[in-house]
Amino acid sequence: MKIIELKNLNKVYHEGEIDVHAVRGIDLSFQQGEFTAIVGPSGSGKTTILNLIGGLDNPTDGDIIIDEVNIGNLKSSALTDFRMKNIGFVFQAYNLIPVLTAKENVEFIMHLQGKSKKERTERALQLLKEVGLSERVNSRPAKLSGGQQQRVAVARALASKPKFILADEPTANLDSESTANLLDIMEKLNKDENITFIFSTHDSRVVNKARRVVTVEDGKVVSDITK
Amino acid sequence: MILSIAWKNIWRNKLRSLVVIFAVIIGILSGSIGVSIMEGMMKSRAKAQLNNEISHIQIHNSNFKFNNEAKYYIDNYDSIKTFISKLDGYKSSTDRLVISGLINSTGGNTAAFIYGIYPDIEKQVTEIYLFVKDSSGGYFNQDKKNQILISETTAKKLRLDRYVITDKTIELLSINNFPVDETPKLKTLLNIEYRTHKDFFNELRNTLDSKIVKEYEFLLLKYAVTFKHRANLVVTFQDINGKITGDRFRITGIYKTGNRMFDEMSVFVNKKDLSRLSGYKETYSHEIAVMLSDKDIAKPFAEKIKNKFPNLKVETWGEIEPMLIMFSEYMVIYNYLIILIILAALAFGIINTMLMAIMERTKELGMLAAVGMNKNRIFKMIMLETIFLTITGAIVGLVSNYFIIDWLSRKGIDLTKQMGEALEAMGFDSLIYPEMGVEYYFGITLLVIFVAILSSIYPAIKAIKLNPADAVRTDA
Repeated sequence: MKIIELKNLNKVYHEGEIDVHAVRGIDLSFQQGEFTAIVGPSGSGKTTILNLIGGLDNPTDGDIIIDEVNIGNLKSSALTDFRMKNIGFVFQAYNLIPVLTAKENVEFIMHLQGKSKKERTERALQLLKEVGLSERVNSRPAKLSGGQQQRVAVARALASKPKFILADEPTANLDSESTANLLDIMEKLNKDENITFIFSTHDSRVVNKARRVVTVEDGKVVSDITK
Repeated sequence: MILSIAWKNIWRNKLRSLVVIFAVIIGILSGSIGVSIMEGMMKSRAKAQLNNEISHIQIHNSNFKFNNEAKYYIDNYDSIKTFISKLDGYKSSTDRLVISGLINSTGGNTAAFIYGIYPDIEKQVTEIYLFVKDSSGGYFNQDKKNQILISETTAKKLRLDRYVITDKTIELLSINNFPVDETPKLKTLLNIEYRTHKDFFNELRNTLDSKIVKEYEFLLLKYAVTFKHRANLVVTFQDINGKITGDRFRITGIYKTGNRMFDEMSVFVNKKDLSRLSGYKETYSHEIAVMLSDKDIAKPFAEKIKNKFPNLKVETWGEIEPMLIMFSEYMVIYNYLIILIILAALAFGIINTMLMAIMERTKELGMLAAVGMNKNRIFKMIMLETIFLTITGAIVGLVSNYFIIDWLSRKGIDLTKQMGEALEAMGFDSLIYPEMGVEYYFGITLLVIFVAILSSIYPAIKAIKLNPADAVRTDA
């Protein structure tokens, strides 16, 4: 089932008097349950594509259709609401809330969704168990390793039961062991629970795990290989 | 949860938050203590004026107040008293003769209003008797004729003042931090009486360090002054027929209230003596003073008297001394203005701190927006952080303020040395007992909340204007 469709997507940044074409006329679609890596050199436009899919940035031209909704037509507040209900984010720098514990970080998005405390607690504990952090539920981010923080970020991304997860360079700050561990968890979630993952990455280990690899250069898709 | 995050966020940079909180505490404390000193001064001034000078209601012949001519008197005090004593809120009343006259001593003379009073009844209405200096004699003695109670200011004008350094003087000076090394020099002047202020100070300048004399001039005068005991004064005034009359009066005591102007103009004699000498019958009165159980009922009380005795001039304390009401009203505005200015200055510090906090958390705020925290919630969170930061300081400030003012209100702040003369000249007591009404605590709390909300708007707007894509990309 197709859940994301990009049609003739363009993004131009205006830097002073210079126009930078970050994305040039991309047409792409993603199916439910995909485990996709968007790869390419620095500045190729992969993070921009992820930001556009996630509704964090507006396209200069083209359509982004998610689950039959053209998010380009949504107003700011509706878009925020749409992101909360449909999209999970994993960032390169984890971006956890430092004053909250691992459990509270996972619960936070469910709080925004208005879930009951009981439901929040149960789901947060279950997700932290799935990412192997049952023992660290009450630890604050500063007390966790990079790999553990990124696993909390994955649990947080899953908390809202999103249609897909966008992960921007999720392994860039991790060592080999943590990377392998994180990828195993995400692959397992993908296979067992049919959760769609879309990564932007340079990391060959991620590329190796991905079942579809979209290569981007100068804002254009130069290859799209399904393994 | 947003409440909890906002509260936790303010403790992320403890030092920075504590600096802001400390600044708010100091601001609130300085503002509140300033307010309480002003309130204490004003209330004490108002209380003294009501209790010593004007009472709650005064009744005169309607012509008397134009130029205080003694021929305009009231001759039915008994029926007035019978009526007012039955009204709700009545506490006490007295009647007086008031004649302007000249007071002469061997050393000088001065004009004053001579109040003919019933000493014992007067005690129920005014508190002048409490201000009679023990060393000067005392209040009226019932058995003696022609006694006069004058103020310290009048006594000085009549050159009845003498200056003596006694052990008590030295003790009082040492309480006020008089230099210990100067005390032995001062003791060389022990029990020597100086007839004039000039002689006394010449001797002091010869004996002590002149800087110390200058610094302690007011206190030396205050504690060394004594008065010629039971001196005779000649009091002259016009009798009921307009003829100059008078008699010799002996000083029974010397009083000193905090109001030099009142002291300067008022001497008290027994009404019986003044009546006998002036020809105004004892049943005549120039002034009736009424005290009520509560000063705030003066207006309706006065209306009832006016209705019953329409030919009399019946005035409430607020009509006699409109400045009292004006002062208290303006003082409230002035006090809040001072607090507002302090809080406005603090607001800039709070805004700066919050902007720094937001700049440091750009990435985190971007993440919050990305995962679905809408602008309202982000705005609310930043607003709560600002309010928490300010309110924490305000609560600590106000609680500390309560205890400090409670302590100061019992101990008092003695400004005698620093500005006693100036304060007394303006009618204020130099020993101030600060006080702050509960309404100020509510008022200041509301002002703090108002300033906190205002301070939070700009940082909160900055926070919601962050673009999530830019924010998560930033290095912050």
